[in-house]
Amino acid sequence: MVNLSVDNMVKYEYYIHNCSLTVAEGEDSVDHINRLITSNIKTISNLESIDTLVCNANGRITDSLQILRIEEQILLLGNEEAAENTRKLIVSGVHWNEDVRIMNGDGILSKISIFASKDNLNRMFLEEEFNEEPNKWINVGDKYLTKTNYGDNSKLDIVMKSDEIMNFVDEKMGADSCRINIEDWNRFRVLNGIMSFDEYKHDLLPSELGLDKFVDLKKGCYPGQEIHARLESRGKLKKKIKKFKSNNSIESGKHKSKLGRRINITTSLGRTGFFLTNNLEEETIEIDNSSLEYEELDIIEIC
Amino acid sequence: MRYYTIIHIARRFQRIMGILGGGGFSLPVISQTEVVDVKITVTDAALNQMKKTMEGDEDTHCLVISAQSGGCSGYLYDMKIIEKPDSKNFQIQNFEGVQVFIHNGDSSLLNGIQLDFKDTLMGGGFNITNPNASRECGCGQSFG
Repeated sequence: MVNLSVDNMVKYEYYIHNCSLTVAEGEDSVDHINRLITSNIKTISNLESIDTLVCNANGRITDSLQILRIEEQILLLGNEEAAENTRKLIVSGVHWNEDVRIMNGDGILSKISIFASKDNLNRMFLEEEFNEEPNKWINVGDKYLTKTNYGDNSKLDIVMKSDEIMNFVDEKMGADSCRINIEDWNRFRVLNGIMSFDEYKHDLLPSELGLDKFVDLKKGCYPGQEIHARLESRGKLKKKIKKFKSNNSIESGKHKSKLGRRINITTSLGRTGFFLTNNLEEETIEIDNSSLEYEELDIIEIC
Repeated sequence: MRYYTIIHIARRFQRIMGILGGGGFSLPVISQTEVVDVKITVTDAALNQMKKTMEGDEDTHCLVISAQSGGCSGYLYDMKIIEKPDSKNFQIQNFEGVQVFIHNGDSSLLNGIQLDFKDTLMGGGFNITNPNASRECGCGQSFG
């Protein structure tokens, strides 16, 4: 995971996410948000987060959210491309008698991910004690942090005020750091099986992206629940996300294999990436003059 | 009466903690509301049932029909008989003395609905037909 950038000498690499941030507060905000998403947020406690999906009535994913509970407030981190629709959905459905206020944090709050070895990350935050449990956050001053370990390396996610990011980078990482770009972030996504709006925008069901673990069919009704329940009990998937490797660079977009199979490359790093296809059992796929080997994704996450 | 997207900045000085707390730090509050003049219809069966349910409380109570997010299709209907709310945010319609209140925030979702009542043991009760709904849940409580 580390060494995402070209420069192998840097100790810290960081990525500033293009995500949308919304804050919900008020006595009924948990109930209100809970009615819109595929997971149950009623069970999460203070400084705990949950990853979830927003779907339309046809069960198709429209956005993914990382929801962090901060005492009486809920912070929702979504995809920038879907922000307008998601926010409209959240705001338009507030019941007249409910205490819910929705606030827009875009441009004011940001999420930054820092990639480093475990040792370097520990050196960076010597004074802090991270909770090693997944989805647990800590509050340091006016920042919220959570750490995820990947073998000997770690990823630190921080939610902070946007205008303090550069000071924070200078102070904590200085010349040992390098800001990575969207291509490097996509490389991290493909390596670790993380889906994003590049995948959601293709009008897909959670199962088609292997995201069933983010759907709680026992929580009660939410938009799309009927479709998800029907699919679970007797449905058959039409498409499935997979990872590819190729001997040549293949651009993202829709392709046809030599045998006429439709291949939709959702994210491409050139010779590897994600693609969608209907059930593959047989052939070695060829697109133009490129071979396409495929593999199942062991772990699938969202961001 | 038709206007869109009221966004105002709320200065909040008393907050709880951390990133969203204190120091005059604030986020813009979003209140996107499309308000339209509401007109609904009520069938005779629904009106009779409303009168029966109100039991002479028509002067002090009203029926509030509203929508909230959720359900299989995106929004859920809600109906309550409550004491008449002292708020200018409601549009009021009178049906032979029974007042039906609809909040401005729900006006675009509920304008044009028809309220009916079916007196059957299975699947009976109040029923809403909504011309704004592109789809409805099988149970009739959710629309989108």
